[in-house]
Amino acid sequence: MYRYAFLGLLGAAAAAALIVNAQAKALMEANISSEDAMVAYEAALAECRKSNSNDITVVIVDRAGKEVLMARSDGAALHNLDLARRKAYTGRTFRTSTTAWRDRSSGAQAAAGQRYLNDVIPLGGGLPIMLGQDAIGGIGVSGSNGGQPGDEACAKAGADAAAAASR
Amino acid sequence: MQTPFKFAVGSAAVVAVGLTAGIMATSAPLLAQPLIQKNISLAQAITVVKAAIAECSKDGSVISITVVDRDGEVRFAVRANGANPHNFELSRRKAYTARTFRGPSANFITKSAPDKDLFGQRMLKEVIPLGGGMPIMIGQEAIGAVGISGAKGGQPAEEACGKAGIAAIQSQLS
Repeated sequence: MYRYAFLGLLGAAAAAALIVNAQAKALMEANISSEDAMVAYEAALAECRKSNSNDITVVIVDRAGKEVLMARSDGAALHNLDLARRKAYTGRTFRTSTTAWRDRSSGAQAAAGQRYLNDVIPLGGGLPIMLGQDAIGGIGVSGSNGGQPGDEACAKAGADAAAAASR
Repeated sequence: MQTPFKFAVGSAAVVAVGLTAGIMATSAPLLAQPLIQKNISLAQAITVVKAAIAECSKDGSVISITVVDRDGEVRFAVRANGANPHNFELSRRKAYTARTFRGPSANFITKSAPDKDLFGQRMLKEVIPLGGGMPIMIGQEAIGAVGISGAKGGQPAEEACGKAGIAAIQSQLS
């Protein structure tokens, strides 16, 4: 009996510690703003224009992987918007370029099972938007003339511009 | 027996000739050229969004906004900072509603009210009986729509911001 009372005291102490912690302060998280998403979009567009890719589709997701900005180009194929969204989501959730994730989740590699996740896509053109080590969003580009490397180059210009604007 | 048979053959011949003529009449223009339809461009959609945001910013409103194209698909969309989880969806559905019914989404509220014969239209996917969606028209033709959610002034203010957005491309709508 004595032993159980001791456990009860421990439990009460743990609960009290939890309550104190919860009351201490709210979790503060950095997130991409709609203004910075617009900055990223325009930077990606400008980069793509350099290689005469004037018809790209772009999606920017926030920290939670949800869309903040969607831009479907005039000549977009039916799949482009969904691809851009999934590239942005993949870049955000794995906090790396989707090209890198494509390569490390391919074939018989240990991480290949990650491809069964919903909404991810093993195609280049997506990048996280990083604030230091913190992924505050993601950007995905689809439909550039340069294929996946071309998409990624434009996405990088966007991610860099957003990171600079968010600082 | 012979007379009905002749009649049947004769009728069949008439129908066959009629059908052939009909097919030729309908297929001739189809072969001549594809269907060409006006649609809102991405550049126009961005102009609408920026102008609508500028209008709504006047009272400090931070809005979520979606422009859909002729097909009701998203052309350009921006989610507001601090938006509630439902706001972005509402902006899209208001735009969709305005596009598909080719009128302000506020009109759909009254037209599909519970006491109306059209109440059943509310069971359509994607439509929403809330103001804040405006069609983008060229004459009688809807080439897209804008939908807004999250304005301080509620549905009337959202509709006003949408109108201001469309006004920015009005000169191109002909």
